[in-house]
Amino acid sequence: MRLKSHFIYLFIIITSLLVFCFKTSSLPYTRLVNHLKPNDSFKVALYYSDISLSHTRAFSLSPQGITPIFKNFIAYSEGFLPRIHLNKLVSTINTFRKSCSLSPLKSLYYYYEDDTTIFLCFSGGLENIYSINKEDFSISPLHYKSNDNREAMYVSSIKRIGSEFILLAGEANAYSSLIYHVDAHTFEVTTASEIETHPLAISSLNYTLNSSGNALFINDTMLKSFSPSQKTSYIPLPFNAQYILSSENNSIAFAINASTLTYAVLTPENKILREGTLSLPSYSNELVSGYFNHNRLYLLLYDPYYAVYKNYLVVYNLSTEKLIYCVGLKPFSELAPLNIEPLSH
Amino acid sequence: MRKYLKLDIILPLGLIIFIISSIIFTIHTKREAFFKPTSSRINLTPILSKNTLSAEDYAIIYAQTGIARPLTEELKNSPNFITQMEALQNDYFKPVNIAVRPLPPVTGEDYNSDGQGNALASFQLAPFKDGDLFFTKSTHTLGWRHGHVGLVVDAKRGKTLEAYSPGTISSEGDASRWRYYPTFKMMRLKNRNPELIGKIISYARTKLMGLPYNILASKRQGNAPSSTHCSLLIWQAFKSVDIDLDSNRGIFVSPENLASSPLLETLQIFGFDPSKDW
Repeated sequence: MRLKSHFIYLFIIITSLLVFCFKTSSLPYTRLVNHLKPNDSFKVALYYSDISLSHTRAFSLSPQGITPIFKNFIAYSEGFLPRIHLNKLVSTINTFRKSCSLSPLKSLYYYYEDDTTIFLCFSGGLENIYSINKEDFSISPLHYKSNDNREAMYVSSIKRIGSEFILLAGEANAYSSLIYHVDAHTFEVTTASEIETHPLAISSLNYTLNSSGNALFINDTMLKSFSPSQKTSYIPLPFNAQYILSSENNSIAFAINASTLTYAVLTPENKILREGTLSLPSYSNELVSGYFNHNRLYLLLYDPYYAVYKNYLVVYNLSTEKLIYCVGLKPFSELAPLNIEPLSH
Repeated sequence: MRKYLKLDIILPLGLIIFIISSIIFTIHTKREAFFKPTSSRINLTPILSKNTLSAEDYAIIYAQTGIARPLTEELKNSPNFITQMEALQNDYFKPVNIAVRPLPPVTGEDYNSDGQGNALASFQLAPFKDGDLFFTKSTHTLGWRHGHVGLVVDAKRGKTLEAYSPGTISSEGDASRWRYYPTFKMMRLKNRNPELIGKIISYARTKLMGLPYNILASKRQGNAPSSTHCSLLIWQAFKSVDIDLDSNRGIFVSPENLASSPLLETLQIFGFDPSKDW
């Protein structure tokens, strides 16, 4: 009888754990709009975390619905990465640093990856930026002149253009940005530029590198464009841009005002291709995260008044200027949705 | 049989003791969860419109907005001073609904909730500068409301450096997240010297970032500490320029020890009793 009661306790505990796991694994949501064509598809990685960024959950959102990604993710300053993958890369960097009698690095700020190269940008200056060759896992620090470096910068964008990488960073404690052109073979900084920026151009949503390698910054009713060859130029806009995102081709500058999004799509040559307004899903919307891909604008929004849903994920087709997909996200545990990015696999 | 009998008594008894302890600790920590303004809200415009403010005016502004004299004097020069102060007054009298989220293993963190478990911003941050300190009393462990503190390392880009909790490393975060705490206090070094602040921030960035959290980390780690906790990080940063912010110079430094330092002045409060340091 005693043994039976202990089995009952054990059963209750195991059942509770299973219920807890099941309850917290699925993300409650409502599909509000679906104007996708049958062969149309997309996949978005949606990351939730708590205020300390120590508990993270990831989900895959597609037209078929939202499913959990059963991987352990870890937050870094600008996003989330699988823990095992990041720990391996950081360990590789720190082993290299140890061989150079340098102290280990821990605070990753920005991550870039393409077919052949990974960049890890840690907090600090150029001395804390490393590239890893994906083929042989060799590590290359950057080679630069000391007066091109700064004590601290926030790398927000890296693009490979031809045989060079372009790095765009916000300078710490300053309203200015730094643009570095890096030879893709030698990792030597060939050009270093510093440009003064608008006081509102302070986060990675406020400036970007377009597909031509020009740095674009919000600047009231203009965009400020910079390249080492053409220097600074201004692109007039019919509205005060708050955000700017770039894609593999065009860029988009936009502003959110209550329930309306005003935008201008620009070509790689910084010509305005089209402009207009779009309706947002709630009466009041704030931008949490977003990206621009294949002429589609993906936005993670927050309704501070929580009229119906606290968060929305919307997809706009800017070729047709239509909202093609929208989900309302319900509260999930004590975590908040913090980031979205394209999910390639 | 005797063994099973003991387990049948011990398990339920342990559960009862745990439940009673939890209730007692919950009641105890709820006592200082939030300080509501004791005075009624008044129309501040006549005071804010004056060219010169008296000591009494500053005291009234503090009681109505949570903005202390040093910051009021700074803001007075801005073109939208009255609008700004009225907005801060709105926030100061807003009700808060406190919920608690667990911070493993045994800590709780209060936040302002909408009643359905979602966090709401409690107030807006007054303008802040590099080197300012952000405090909150909204973290507690087993009845001890120890609080949390962070250092502003980049006011232009809104970044604070914090050692957050066990299992994390000290890192830069977004200053705006402090708005979700039901209690907040902003303090600054008296007679702020920008050059000195620059050195403090430079040291914090190079030596205090990426350190694992350790509540037992010692003050005697020298110039290259290997671990830290929230208040120790602040203490280490300022000690690097020979400023000791620990008000009681003890072995351990807590957020309360820092907030009580005579070297610091209060700039903004929300949910804190203005008559107390902590």
